[in-house]
Amino acid sequence: MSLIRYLKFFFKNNDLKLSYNYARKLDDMKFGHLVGTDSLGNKYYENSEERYSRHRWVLPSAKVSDSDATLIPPGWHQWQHCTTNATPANATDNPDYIWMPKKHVGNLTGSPKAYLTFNTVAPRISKWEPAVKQR
Amino acid sequence: MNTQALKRATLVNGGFRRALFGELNSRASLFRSYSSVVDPKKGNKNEKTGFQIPYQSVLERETTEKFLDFSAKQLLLTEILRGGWIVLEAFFREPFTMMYPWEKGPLSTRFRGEHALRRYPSGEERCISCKLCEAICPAQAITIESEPRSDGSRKTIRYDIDMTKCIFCGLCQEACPTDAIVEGPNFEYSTESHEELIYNKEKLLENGDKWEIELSRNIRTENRYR
Repeated sequence: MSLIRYLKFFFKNNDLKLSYNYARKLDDMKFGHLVGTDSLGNKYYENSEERYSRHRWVLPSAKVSDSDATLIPPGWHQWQHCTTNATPANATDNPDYIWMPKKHVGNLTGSPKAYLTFNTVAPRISKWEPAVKQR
Repeated sequence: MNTQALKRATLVNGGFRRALFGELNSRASLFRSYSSVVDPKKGNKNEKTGFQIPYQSVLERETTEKFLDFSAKQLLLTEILRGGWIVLEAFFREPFTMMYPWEKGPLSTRFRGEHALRRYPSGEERCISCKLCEAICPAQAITIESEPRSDGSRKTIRYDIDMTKCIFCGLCQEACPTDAIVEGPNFEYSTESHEELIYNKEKLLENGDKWEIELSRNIRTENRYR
């Protein structure tokens, strides 16, 4: 039952600040070990005794009003989706190319920075501009 | 259950059932006429030895039920109580609910999500503008225009995907000879307007750069099966 579970995890945590953050940001109580922290400050936890798909979770660094599912950088995203056990912290095969973006941004829709489609090709036809001859 | 016994049982219960459920009984008689068809050459198919399923359908079971069994079920509401017990069991069970944005469900390496155009480690784009993806796309969501570049290589100048036309079948990434167009693991790209979902080359390359960690890992994992 959820109340028993809530209290059990609250006392197991033994950390008022963490429990407060869980209650405020996740609206739930969790208990597990810290796996890592990403570039945005999100903290990733794991507790393999929990039910599968509830066993990996993120404590977002963003405010409750700003937090978003897309604010999880690639790599950690894959770990959280249980596609792989490798995290960006422990994997040895992380590609690090110069053209890869250094900073992760989430889904920008609804903000002024949102992507808007544009034409990548210069127009090959031009408007007809009638030149009237002087008579 | 052989035909004889079926007929006998329905004769016994018939009057009572007809009084209670006229419609059900008419369906039952339909069933009887269907099941009692016997091939004269092969004999009665219902006469079998060995393991037998006691009844072929719920209707047959109810039609051949003993009068007292039927009445006891109806009067004591045993089926409702059995259903109630299942509800009670589910009530005390740990819920399966997953708290989505913070806990996410398992995802395959073959997941077909948002599209991306990949690059070679040098930064050169992989797409050679062969237009195989455009040709195979069943929804005709891809539009490509190409031009020779100043160094003589053929590259796309337009690579548009209408994400609202796309049916995410994955044929484009299967057709691609250079692993340039791939369907990545991202599905959280919902937008507020339709315009934002008409992806051009720049947006696709940006996606590829962003998700390269996961795209390359997925391709490496699936390498043996491709």
